[in-house]
Amino acid sequence: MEYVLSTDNLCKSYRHFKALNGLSMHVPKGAIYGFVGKNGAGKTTLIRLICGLQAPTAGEYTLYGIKSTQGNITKSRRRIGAVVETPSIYLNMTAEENLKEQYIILGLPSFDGIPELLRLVDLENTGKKKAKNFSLGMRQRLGIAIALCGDPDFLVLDEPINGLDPQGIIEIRELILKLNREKQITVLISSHILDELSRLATHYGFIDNGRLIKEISAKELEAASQKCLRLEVSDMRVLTRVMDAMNIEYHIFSDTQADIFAQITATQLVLELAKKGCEVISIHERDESLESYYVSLLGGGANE
Amino acid sequence: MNKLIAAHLMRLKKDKCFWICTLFTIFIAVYRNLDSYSMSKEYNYTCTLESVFFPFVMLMAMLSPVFCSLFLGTEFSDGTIRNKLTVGHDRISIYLSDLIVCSITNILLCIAYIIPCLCLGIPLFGFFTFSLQMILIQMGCSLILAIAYAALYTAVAMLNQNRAVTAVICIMGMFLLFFFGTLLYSRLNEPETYGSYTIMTEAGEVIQEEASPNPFYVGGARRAIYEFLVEALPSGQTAMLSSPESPLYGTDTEKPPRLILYSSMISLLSTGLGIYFFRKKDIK
Repeated sequence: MEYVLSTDNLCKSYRHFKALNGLSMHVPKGAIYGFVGKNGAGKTTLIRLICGLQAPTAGEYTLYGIKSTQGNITKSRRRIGAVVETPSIYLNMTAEENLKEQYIILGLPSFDGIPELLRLVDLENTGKKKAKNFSLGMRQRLGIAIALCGDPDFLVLDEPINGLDPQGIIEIRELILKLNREKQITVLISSHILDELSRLATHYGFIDNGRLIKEISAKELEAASQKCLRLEVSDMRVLTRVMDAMNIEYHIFSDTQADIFAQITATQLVLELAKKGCEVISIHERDESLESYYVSLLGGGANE
Repeated sequence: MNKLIAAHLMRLKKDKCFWICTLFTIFIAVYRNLDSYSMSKEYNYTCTLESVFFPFVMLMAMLSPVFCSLFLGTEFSDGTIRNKLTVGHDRISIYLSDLIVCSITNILLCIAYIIPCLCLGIPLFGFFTFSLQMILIQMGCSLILAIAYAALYTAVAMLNQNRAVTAVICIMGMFLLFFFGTLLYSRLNEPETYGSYTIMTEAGEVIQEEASPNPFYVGGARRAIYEFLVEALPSGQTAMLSSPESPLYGTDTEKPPRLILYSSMISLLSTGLGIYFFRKKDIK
């Protein structure tokens, strides 16, 4: 498999704190790589390293076949577009002026591509409005437009949907999917909003305490994920006895609610519980494969 | 690096701080000419073009930290420096392009004073009374000093990621430098002795006071150190170059090359150190 980015035992320390601790990951070409981890896990640190904002303490990464230790790594960086944390835009400039500025930085010969870029991120009607008067979603889209100047092959987005309203989240999601499908841009997207990430990613990397715990494709994840039924019952003690007797894995998270991880017929379960005097108030099939996988992988609350 | 300079110049054209500084400089140039002219007429003394012309150095030195800290600080506060690094520009190019743009701005601020000053000053006060060669040498020293200021403030701005902190350090630094520079320069200008004078009392008695030594006069090795500091410190040079009684008008032909050497050393040293630490800096 051809990789756009691969890292090998990458380490980054800030004084005594190890933000990255031997991280090794592989981003396949053409993928939307979801980089998952809780706050402070090291997601942004990795992105800062590959964007050249910071240097690794140890280890190395390879970007389009060029190692970070080689002098010409800056050449492969020309194929990257990135939005790191907040969008990097001049607040006292309009959207068009910001794009012109980036075009000049890249040394592009003409500004002909700017109207198309503005249309792509739905900012073509902002006119003379300064970026400081933009909504968060508009700024985020402008940040992505700047990252797209020069037609990059690899787009790095750090928490692109943080703080966005539902409409903004949908717009960013559709934009990322469009870029990946229509322009074949590989995307590395870091997030801890799992539900949203599960709608986009083709590959996942789970990071915790500066280490990559697991790399998995979306198809493999789907196959590996446990489906579950969420039950609300009148008597939890009866439910636990029945589950134990049927040798079914379950997880209790309140006095009346529990998740059951098994392919079981609802009628059989309800009858068993009814025999012992326990009422089933509600049953829902839960489809949070990424979330449950993440919890089981990182140990849920114990890992906090 | 040309791309980065071009991008900076495009931003400079739209930068409010730059235009405010430029308009302020033009206003001061016009005001100073008109004010000096009206004062010379009112109190009947001769005012030369030199006395209104050379303070441009002082004005540039005061505006430079404000402009440099805000203009370069925006790169960090808006996060746009990341756009340059991410697309593969190396840190030395980024640093040098910032330095070049700040130097250009400082020189433009000098020009913003010089042009209106000459346009108004020559009709009002006549041409320079000193030789054109000396005037050009002094202007050359001033322009190299402008680059030294840009180098100092660029180093501060590039090593601080907080725009407000950068602005405070640059402006406070400027005041501190000026305090020492003008203090040293004024001490060097103290006369060695107070001259003899004669006074007449109300009773008509005439008293003759003999010349007495000035306790504030700095002499010996201390004077040599003061002279070195005045010439080496940018603020000392500013005080010297903007003064109508500048020693450069005198016969000391070694002074201008020394000033140019000190300014160049400040530029090289601050840029060298700035680049060294900027290359190692973790950018957020």
